[in-house]
Amino acid sequence: MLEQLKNLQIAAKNEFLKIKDAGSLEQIRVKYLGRKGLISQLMKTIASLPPEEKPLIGKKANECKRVIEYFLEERLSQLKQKSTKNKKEKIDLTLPAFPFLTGHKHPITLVLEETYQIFAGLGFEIAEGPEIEKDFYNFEALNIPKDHPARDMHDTFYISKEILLRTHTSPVQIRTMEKTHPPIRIIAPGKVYRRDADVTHTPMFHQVEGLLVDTSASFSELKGILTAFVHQMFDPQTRLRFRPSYFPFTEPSAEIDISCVMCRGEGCRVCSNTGWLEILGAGMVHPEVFRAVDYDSEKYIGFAFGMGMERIAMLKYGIGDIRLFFENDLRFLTQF
Amino acid sequence: MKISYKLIQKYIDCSLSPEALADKLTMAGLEVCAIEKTGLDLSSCVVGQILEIQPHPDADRLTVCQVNIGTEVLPIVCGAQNMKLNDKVPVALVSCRLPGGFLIKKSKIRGVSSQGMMCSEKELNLSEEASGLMILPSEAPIGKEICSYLGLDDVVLELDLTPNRGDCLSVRGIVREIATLTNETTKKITIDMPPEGNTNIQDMMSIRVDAPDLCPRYSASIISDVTIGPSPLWLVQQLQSMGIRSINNVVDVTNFVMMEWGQPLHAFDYDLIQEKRIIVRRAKEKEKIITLDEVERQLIAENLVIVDTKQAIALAGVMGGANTEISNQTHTILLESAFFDPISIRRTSALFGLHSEASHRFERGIDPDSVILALNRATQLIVEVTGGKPAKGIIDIYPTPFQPQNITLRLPMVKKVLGIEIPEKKIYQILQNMDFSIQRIDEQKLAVLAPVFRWDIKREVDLIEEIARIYGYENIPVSLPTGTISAEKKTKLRNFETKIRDILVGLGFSEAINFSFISKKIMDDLPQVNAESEERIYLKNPLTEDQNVMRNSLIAGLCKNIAFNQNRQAQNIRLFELGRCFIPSSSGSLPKEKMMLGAVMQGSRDPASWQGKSESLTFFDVKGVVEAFMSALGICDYTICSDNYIWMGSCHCCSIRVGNQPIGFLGEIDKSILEYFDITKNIFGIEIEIEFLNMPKKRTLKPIPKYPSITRDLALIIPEEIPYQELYKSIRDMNIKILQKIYLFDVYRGDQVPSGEKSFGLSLIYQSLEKTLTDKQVNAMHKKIINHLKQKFHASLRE
Repeated sequence: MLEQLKNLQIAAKNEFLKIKDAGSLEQIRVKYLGRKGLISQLMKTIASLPPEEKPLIGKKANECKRVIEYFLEERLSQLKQKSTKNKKEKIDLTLPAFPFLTGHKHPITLVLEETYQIFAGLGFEIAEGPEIEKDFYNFEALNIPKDHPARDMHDTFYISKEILLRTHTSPVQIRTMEKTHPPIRIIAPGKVYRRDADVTHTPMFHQVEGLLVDTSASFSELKGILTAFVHQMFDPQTRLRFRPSYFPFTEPSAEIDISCVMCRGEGCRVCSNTGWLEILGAGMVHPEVFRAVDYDSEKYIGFAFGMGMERIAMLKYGIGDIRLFFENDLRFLTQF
Repeated sequence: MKISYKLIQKYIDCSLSPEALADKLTMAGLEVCAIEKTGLDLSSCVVGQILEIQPHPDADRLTVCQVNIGTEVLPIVCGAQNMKLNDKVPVALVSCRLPGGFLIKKSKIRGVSSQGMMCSEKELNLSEEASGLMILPSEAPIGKEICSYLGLDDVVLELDLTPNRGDCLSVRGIVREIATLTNETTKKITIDMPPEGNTNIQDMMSIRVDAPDLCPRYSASIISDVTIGPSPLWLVQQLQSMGIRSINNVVDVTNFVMMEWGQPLHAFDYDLIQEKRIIVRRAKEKEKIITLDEVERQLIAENLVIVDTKQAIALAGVMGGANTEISNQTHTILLESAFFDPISIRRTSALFGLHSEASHRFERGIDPDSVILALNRATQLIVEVTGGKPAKGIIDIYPTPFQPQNITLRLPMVKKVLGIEIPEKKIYQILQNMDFSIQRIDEQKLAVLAPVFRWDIKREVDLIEEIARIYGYENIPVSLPTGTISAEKKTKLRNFETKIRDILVGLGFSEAINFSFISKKIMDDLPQVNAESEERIYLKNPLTEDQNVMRNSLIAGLCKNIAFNQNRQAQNIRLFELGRCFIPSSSGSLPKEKMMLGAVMQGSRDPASWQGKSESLTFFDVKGVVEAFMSALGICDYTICSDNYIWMGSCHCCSIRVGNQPIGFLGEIDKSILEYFDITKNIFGIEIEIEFLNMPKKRTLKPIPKYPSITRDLALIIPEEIPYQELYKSIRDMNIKILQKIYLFDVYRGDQVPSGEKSFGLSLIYQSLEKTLTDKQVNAMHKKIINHLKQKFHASLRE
């Protein structure tokens, strides 16, 4: 009897292995495990065995049934795996994908958003002001009276005698200080306009202005803030050079060069072989500017800075021609 | 301003190389924007001696010369007449490129070989003298490079000076700065006044200043018996190195002294001054003057003029009058050196568009103490180069001398502003090196007198900048602010804009940025646009006619971008722009600036793929974009209804409304606009004023249903004129709580549907949050809806 069980087990295993599809496997299942299958028949004969043999044989018969069930299941899952494998091989997966239409942000937006994040980390919030501005905010309040030679630095578009397209984002300094009290830490991004168009100038471009006013602030801290910005915007190896300069609304004033991002300061076409690229203007807020907004310049001190975002985007992405920013050529836009 | 390295050496012993000097100046705020080596182009131009002059066999006006250039003797055909045998001349050899760009080649001139060219001064760009060859001194060494012989091998530094540093618009000013930076002392410019004449200047000329506010100082000298002619070579070269062309000896001297001292000078022809009386006064209304450039100019009262008894003879500080101009016949000159008010000069030069080297300096403020020094220097040089004789004495009208500014410098302020302690000794050294005088007031305060030529130094911070500048910005350490950070949130709008951009990028749109000004012509050519935007904001001084009016919509710019990309074979174009548009408001106040979102799409719904061609866009695609956009923003309280928009003219168009307020439009762009831009395929567009979207939204989670839903379909035939929206709203208005969703799966016209009617296939999805619905419950509601629709719209069910 035990011999019989063992043979049955081996025969079943061999038969299962020969089967190649799930349908035939079902027939074999019925043959062994079905209600009238070989196992069932064998079980029925147990009743006629002597009582002392019954427990052992019964146990073995059940074991045998479980083993055959296990073989069956294993073979079934093997066959399933095989059949899905076969299906996969029928597709050429190297065919091109069904494309999605993908949009791209403008590179100026990318550098602006990065700038917001860097300055947010330094505690600066965003302030805004109008693009069509009064002469007072664009010039007078920034210590650039009429007939001041510094007006030559700005080719201005006029709407009327007193209304113009802002030539820089600096008027936002004035508007912010008029509305709030120190401590102030803002950046003011936006479009600005100069009556100038050639290979390196477009009549509209983007600036970001920064202003910090508090009871204490120093040129050393201005250097710190701008160094932090440049290191995050470009890379921490970038060197900065602060040069004395002149803006009517800051004193002392500085222009800031960074080591050329193309040649790492060795001299190339982009930096005109100087190794340096000018990217920022900055300085300590001029007392006349505080006077224009009724701040006590004995009590408050501050610094301001401004930069052109096209320039930064050009350096960051290796864009050679500023006019590309405003042609809106998809072959350009989709690269960002 | 250009300054030559060689010239600098005449005024100070500067041991720095040109590059190191340029770097030092740049780091002190006098930016050197270019370092130019001069004379390089003339590398193969040498001194030659004429050994033989023969008439050209075939041309009357030409000669054939044999010229010795040291290494060989060259035949050169020449058109000039002024040379003699053995004269030494500059010879441009074959392959030399002259300053004008002309390349010397081996050639045959009327059959005779010519291997070089003998040059005039003009050909070497030394002066305007072109009447004959430049004859060099007889001791000139044959074969020597002409550049090194004439000292043309120089380095010129070009400075880009900021408007506050008028005091550096002269060699003297820059040298003063170099002295401070290098701790060298400047060499004194000695002025050897020639022996004075016998006639007292007071007897030759009377000068009166009627406007001392605009002309605080006026001085003059007179030089007679002058011979106007070309300048000596040294003078020509000095001017050349500063980028100034030689004109004649007198003008050259006035230019040279202006560059040396920063003091503009003007020479009048003394004999042409009526009655030898000059008045400096404000112009009379409608007074006229013909300036040196032969233009008649009508003056206004704020212009300062120099007049004689008959007429205006100069526009003070800006340009002289033609009536007293120096000419070859001039015998006696009156030389003017004055201080004119910067603002007055600036207004006058701006009014007439006359910007000169002189007005540039007056506008920025000159050194009142140099007025006489420069006058004497120029008088001396004019006598030297013209052979004239000075009158006895000079005229100097200076009723109220300028006083130096007295500024209190608090030493703790230096630290406060710069963030670094600079030793007191260093502060003293820096300021004293720059001619500031210092007196101690107490432990913490200094009284500082700034020299009168430093018009930019008015306050304490100006002194602090000077200290920082010379101390070196690079020596100020880097630190981070320690102050308080305000908790106020101003950043929201920008965050919102970032979100809008993110959504559109996700919907397949790329971001465009256009100029804020567009062409008036677009508006004029599009009648419907024209009619609705009477009021526009024009630029008074546009750069081009394409950019003369501020945009009031983003659509025109985006359509232009579509045209641009279409012409470059782009297929499926989706662009958006987020930017301000401008709406006029009452005069005097600023226009309204609206932040708008514009989006345009053209082409197919999906990009082409190997599975087949995608369908062309329709109105319902752009509507889908709007709905997806609003959904991403979490806005659901809005409606889209049929409307008109100027840019969509006769095409399908809807407005997006919140309440009854239209906040934007969507639809197909009008054909006339496509025609204007030569666009071939339909465009669908959206324009939304985003201020209205940025509403505070509180998101609260709705419970997620636990129980299954039951769907009932329905084919409804209703009259053609009933819009879907009305049907939908009507079902919604029944307020059936268990009706979760209405989904339109089919719109059908044709067989089985009577003409004038249409069939909507609707799926109604029922679901309860509290329990599993039974068929009975659903059927009851479904029936109720059907009855309602039958009644309200005369609808029938399609079997």
